[in-house]
Amino acid sequence: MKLSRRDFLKMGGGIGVGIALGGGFWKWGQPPPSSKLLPPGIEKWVPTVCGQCLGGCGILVRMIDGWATNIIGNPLHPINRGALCPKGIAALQGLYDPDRIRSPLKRIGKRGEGRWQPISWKEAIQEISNQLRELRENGEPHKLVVLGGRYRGLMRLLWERFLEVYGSPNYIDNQFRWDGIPMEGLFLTQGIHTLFTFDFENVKYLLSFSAPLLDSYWFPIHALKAFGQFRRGRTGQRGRLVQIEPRLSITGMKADEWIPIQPGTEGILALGIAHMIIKEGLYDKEFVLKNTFGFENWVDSKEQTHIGFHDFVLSEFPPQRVSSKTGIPIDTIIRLSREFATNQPSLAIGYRDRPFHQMAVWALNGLVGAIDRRGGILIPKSIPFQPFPSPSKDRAARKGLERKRIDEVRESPFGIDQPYLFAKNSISGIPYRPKILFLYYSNPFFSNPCPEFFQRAFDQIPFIVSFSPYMDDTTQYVDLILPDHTPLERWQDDPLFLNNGFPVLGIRQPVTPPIHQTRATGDVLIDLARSLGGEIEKAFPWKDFKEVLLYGLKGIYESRRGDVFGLEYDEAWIRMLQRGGWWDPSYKSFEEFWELLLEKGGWWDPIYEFGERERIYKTPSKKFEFYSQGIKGVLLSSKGEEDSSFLPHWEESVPKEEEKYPFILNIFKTMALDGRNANQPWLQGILGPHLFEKWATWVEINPITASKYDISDGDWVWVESPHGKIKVKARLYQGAMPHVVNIPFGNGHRTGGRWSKKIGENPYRLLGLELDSLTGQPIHGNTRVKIYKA
Amino acid sequence: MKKILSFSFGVLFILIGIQFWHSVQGIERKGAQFVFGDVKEGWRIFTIKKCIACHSIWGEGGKGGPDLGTLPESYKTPSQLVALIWNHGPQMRAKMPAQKILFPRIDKKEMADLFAFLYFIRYMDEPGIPSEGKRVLETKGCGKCHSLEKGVKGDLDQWGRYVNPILWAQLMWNHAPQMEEEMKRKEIPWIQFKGNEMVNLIAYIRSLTPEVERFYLSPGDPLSGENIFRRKGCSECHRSETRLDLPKIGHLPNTIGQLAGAMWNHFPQMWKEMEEKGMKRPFLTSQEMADLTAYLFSIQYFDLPGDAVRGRSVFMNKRCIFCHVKGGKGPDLSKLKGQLSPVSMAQIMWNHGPEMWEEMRRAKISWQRITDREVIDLIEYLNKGIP
Repeated sequence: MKLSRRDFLKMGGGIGVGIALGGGFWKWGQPPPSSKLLPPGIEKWVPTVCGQCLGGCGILVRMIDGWATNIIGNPLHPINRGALCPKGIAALQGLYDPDRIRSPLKRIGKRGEGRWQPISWKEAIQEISNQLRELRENGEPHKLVVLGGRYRGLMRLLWERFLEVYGSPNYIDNQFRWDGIPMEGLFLTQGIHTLFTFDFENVKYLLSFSAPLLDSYWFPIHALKAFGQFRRGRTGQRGRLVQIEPRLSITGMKADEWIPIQPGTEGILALGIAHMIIKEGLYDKEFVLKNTFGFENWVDSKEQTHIGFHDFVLSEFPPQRVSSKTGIPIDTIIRLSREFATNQPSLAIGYRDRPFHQMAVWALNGLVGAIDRRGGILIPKSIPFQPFPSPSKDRAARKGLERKRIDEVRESPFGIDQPYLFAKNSISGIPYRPKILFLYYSNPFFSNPCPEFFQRAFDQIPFIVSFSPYMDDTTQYVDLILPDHTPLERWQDDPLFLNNGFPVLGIRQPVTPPIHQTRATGDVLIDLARSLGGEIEKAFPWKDFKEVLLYGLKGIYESRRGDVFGLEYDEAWIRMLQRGGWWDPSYKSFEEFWELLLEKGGWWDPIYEFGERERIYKTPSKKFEFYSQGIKGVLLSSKGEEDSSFLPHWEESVPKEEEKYPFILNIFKTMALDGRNANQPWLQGILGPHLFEKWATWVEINPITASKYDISDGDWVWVESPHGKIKVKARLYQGAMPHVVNIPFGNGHRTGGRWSKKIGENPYRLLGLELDSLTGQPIHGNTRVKIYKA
Repeated sequence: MKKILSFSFGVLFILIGIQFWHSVQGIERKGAQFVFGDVKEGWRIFTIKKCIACHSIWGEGGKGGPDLGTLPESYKTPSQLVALIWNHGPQMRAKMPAQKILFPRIDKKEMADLFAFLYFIRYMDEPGIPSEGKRVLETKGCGKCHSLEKGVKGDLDQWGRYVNPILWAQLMWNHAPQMEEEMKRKEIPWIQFKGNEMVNLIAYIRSLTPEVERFYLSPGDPLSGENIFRRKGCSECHRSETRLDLPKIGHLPNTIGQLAGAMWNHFPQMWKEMEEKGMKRPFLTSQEMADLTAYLFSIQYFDLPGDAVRGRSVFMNKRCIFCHVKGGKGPDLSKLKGQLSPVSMAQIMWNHGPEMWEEMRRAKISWQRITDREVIDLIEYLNKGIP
């Protein structure tokens, strides 16, 4: 088309007239004026508990005309007192994820192929019920395995009850986390398997051995609030935090001092600090004398002398040795020991390192008496749920329960489930192979190191069911999917503890009816029991999970303890009353109790009773054990009778192919993604705020190291270990040690929705199967890698 | 018809007026008799008015002022509390700016709630000392009948769940006949508990059973307690005209734990008198015991009657007369005729404190301290009306 000068002028004139008539360009952007205003929606705020991580924060969900539109913190919930992290707000994106599984799905293609056929709930229950019935009829109920992930509350008891009456001993707790709760340290020194808390907001000096306090802690918001209290909440006292960690994390940045350390050597540093404290006589002699066992050399009933922690540490862990292993100067080790011992109350916290490394950190707390004291390690009382009535078991169930567990956990010294042994034994068929596997809140193909290992195990299992509300790496590989509600759509209890040891029970209630054809797994389990009939059905007399919850809550109501959530002055009020033996709750009947629970968000008992030794020390000596007698019997067979096997010690990982793989791999987690929630764009957008990274996986490299390898900021590089390689973006970071590379965990899902599938890489694919002999868990800081440009 | 309507409205108006008057006076009328105000609300006031910034209750709160949970018997009666609030005014106002606290005004209802709260915490025990309790157990010879071993006959282990001393008092009350018989058989004299010995003993036994679920008690109702006091026959002996009139005896224990100990000490004498009168020992439930205790503590709140003549002297000697008369610089106190109670007196004195302090400084008058006796007399004098 040819445009003449005249045409051009005509067009110009036309546009001018148009602008004059239209009122100018600025109006183009304005919406047309509405003839009438939109009617206001009906608004309400519903209290519930966030389910984005294990933090247990109380939230208020803003509902407009029945639609969830906003989330804020519940000011009454003692865990977060109105505060909320970005994950909490992003729960809306979890609810409205367009790629959620909308109804039960049955696999029609090959496993992992991703071809599904929607089926009805009736068909799905029938299908599982048939499989379960057949397994029992064949006398193999023990071959049903439940692999459960990270969740809390009555749902766990419901699963265990189901397995018990069905006849399987195989509930496998798959909660792999290096940044998880260091349970083994507690067991070795205090003989306790239950949860504990670190009362770190009340300490003067906090020595953190790679604990991700402000990054991806167990209870992120509670930790952040506690940190605020620790730093500024006490008039005239500012707590001092020293972060010992291979990488400059957010915690390191906010700390008073960051001390870089070779990954995996935190344990030997703790022993080096203990050496100096003992050598200089700075430990709490009274506490050690009255409350500990195995500090000095001791003689057993056979008159055999054993070395104590005192002599062992002095002879084995001089600062020179510790310095050479950790890379931390001797002066710093000496200074840390003096600071830690003299700034009381002080506390040492660590991560879920190898058991005896955890014990080394715990021993520091034993030396300064930081056990069961304000600003110490606390053992809270449990929440008094009404126990389920003991179920009657039929012959098939009794027979099945007599069988060995598939992960042989009864032989485990810690009594902690061993998912890796489950996978290994499923592959080998010894003691037997599972025939039915249920996956509940568990995604081992993604969130366990060496995911391929689990895939090989799953290949041996004929029927696998997932209860995941979203498609994930493991769910893609199952035969049947029975999608659960999201946390905003279901009933659930959320029991946990504050740092100061107060038990708290949050009530998760549905804020909206289910958006899709999903069902709460608790309800499905009750339906399954009903369909199986007999003693199994009788063991589940409840209509649905809400009834189970109400049943459990009766115990709390009848315990005459605590009260529903209230403002902060209510806390002290309840505590004052209970201390005097009084209980004056806000309710007068169970119905009123239930209504208030829903209105306020939960129940709590704001009192911690110090000095109850039987609760604090469950070791054979009824004391804090520097020499772990509890584990001695178990280890004698495998490790001989050397005293060092029962004292805190360091187990060195032997470096492999150091020349070929010059870097140590350090995997970390950020607050936004800890393995879940990759399907939420808001969280993908704030992955690495310190480097402005989003929607990606990156590797942090020290700038000097990078220049040696000719790697520039933003280059794509391969990170390769003996077990695999991943392509990630190189980011030059001053907070990376020269010989350590850091990669965040959270992305790299091979399947899932549009916002998580094939975004970034999963660094767990670089890890091998070097497992700790005691826990059966992969060893941290044990993997070496090389880097080269892609 | 019109007249009937006007009459009806008139009656209605009068009734509403009476009701309003009663509701306004309710706190004090109640206060003259039983616990006034709302205890929990009092704690809220204590917190939001920032009393807690300086004063702690058993360690909960600031350390700038005394811990009000552990104060000795400094405020048993309302007048003592009024005197305490007044006397520590200057000291407190000097400390408030340092804590960045503005002077909080307190209304009458709030003051009543605060009074209720401060009384409540007075009769709650401080936590006992287990090691002292162990000593009590050993020295009092409890071990002759009781064991601390689980499952053994007479073991005290099961008692560890009872935190509240009232529960102990109740259990001992109901268990006492058996115990008395056993002690007679073993020729053990009746043990006497002094001071906090009972509380320490409870703390010790509790410390031995950490895993046991605690049993707590709902705070008692003094009105119901008064009813029980009559119904269970306590009033047969503890009448106002008898020598056993409890308020007159004037030495009721300060805390519940001490009360439990005192009741125990008193058992043999009480039973003897009951037998003489042909009375049966009444059985008490734990809640009845709590109500009874609440009643016994509430009757301590009575002040002795004031003396208007002495009150006049107080008014003169404390220099109130300089300002608080008709035409004086300060508010005319003659207007308060018939309206004052310890609570309203405390509230007026509290709110008026800073202003008066300034006036007194200007007039170079030193702060006039006042005793509880003077408070009662002054109230009586002002209620009668300044002539």
